Amino acid sequence: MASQMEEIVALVDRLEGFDAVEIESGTAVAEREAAEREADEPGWTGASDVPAPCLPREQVLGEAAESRQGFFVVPRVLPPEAE
Amino acid sequence: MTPARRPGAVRTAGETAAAVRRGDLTAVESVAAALGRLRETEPATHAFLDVLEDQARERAEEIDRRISRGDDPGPLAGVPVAIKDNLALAGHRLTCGSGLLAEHRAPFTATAVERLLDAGAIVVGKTNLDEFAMGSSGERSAFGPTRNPWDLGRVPGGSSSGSATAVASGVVPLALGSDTGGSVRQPAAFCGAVGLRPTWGRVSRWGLVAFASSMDQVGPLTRTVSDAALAVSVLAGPDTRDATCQSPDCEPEGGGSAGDPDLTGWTLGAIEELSPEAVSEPASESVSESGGWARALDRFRSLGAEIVEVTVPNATAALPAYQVVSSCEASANLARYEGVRYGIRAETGDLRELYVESRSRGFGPEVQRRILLGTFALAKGFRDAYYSRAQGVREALRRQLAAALSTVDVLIAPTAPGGAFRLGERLDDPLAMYGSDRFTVLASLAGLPAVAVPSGLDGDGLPLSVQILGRRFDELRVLRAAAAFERAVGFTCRPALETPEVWGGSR
Repeated sequence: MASQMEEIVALVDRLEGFDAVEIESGTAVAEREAAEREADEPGWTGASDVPAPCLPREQVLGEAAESRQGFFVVPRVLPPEAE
Repeated sequence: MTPARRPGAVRTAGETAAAVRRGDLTAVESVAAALGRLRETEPATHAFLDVLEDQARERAEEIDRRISRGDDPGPLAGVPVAIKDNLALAGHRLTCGSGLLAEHRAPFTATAVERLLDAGAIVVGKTNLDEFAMGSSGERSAFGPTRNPWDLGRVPGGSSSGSATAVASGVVPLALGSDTGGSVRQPAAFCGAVGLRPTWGRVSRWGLVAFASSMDQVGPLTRTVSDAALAVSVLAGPDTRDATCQSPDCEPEGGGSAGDPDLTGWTLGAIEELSPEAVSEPASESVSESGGWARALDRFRSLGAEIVEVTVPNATAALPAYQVVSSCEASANLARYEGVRYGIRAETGDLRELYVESRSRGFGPEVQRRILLGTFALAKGFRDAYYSRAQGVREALRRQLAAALSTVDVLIAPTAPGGAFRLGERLDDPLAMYGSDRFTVLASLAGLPAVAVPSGLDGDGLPLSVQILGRRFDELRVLRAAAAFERAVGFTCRPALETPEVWGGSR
């Protein structure tokens, strides 16, 4: 496999000779809509999404019906045989 | 050995559904015919990993009951379909052609499969594939290779090897595959089928096991362009479970019988850098079918189309760019198979050893090779030289293709460098194997729709294929051009698969 890997690396080294465009990390071929919504957005009846600091873990767990070892306890979704 | 040819007489998906809805054919009869054909061909081709006989028969009975009650089961009523085994079907094995997932069962059903079922289709089996969809020949399955129904000594292409074979050998008129770098189009080309890669974002990938997420797409393999259009009209549409699926409504019906009679007034762009004369590497692979390509261009001209040469300078960089990007994404996506949550687990006393042993035993050589390349290309000190560079080349290619498509209706190119190659011929030569995809990776990198359509037979009696690429979400135009070309070619040949005895036990 080592010699094959050398051939493959030689193949990808050819990229050096071609035009390239600087792009930001995470760029996709499809334009994606922003995940955040505005209050006046058509079809959206809630408040605007505003980035904010994360809530303390204890406060979030305190809102849960049940928690254990720092995690939510939730009802089983999958039957045991599906796992 | 090349079996004799016979005219194709098997119903298309559209004809089957129409007959079932009219009451001229029952879904039970339709499924029985598919299962009978499967039993005849499977010993020779090994297209299927699992046959869902009981479930298919029960579902057919249910479809027939609905029809007798006056319900309409949908546009695929009673159509037997096959599903590539990297798409989830609840309760059934989901192996991805890998020993690592040999006993893994899907806890839910993929959206694409669900949409076929909602349209009245009946799944008769899960099809073989190159492990984790990484391969171009169908030989990289942990469960053994699939063989090309046109010549059992040749590969059917990959990675959707079983789906292409199931369609070409007349088991089903419609099968689902997945296309990352050409895994629907290239096997369709080798098997004389139609293979459509929809626009990235057109069809939900929920329930498709990830290989390279920025390119993975679900697509249909069929015998006719009309059936490909019918399939994508069923598959398309937004899915809240896949944020990348932003699909506007599809209107592909014009791809079928209602399509244009000819291509008068159309301008087709032949990509200069992909002409048989321009492509000569790697040296181990010859572009043998320049005559086939010239005939295809004549067909388009005979339909009234004007053909202009367009230049896409980065077209020849597409293959290395694809290898880097897809391997990087694969190395990240496959990190989850570490022997703890999924698949086989090596029993060792040490967690690190468990990871190493489980992955070393579970993954085949091609998957390991790609994980190694991806991990290398993402490593500190190499990332800019490989991954970032490849993404930059990809973006330049995307812009070049968009510019070319702004001047023509569609782009055309060969689907593969030639007909199907012999089993084992390229297994030890990864560069020659990767070269099979050199014409298909462009649409993958740019997220464009592309369809492979049979264009005739080569000197060995093996299918050749032409690829038509369009603008994003312009499947309609791509399918209209494909339908006109299909009619002009009149490709009705099918491999002769009567009974396994015909091949004299050549498997």
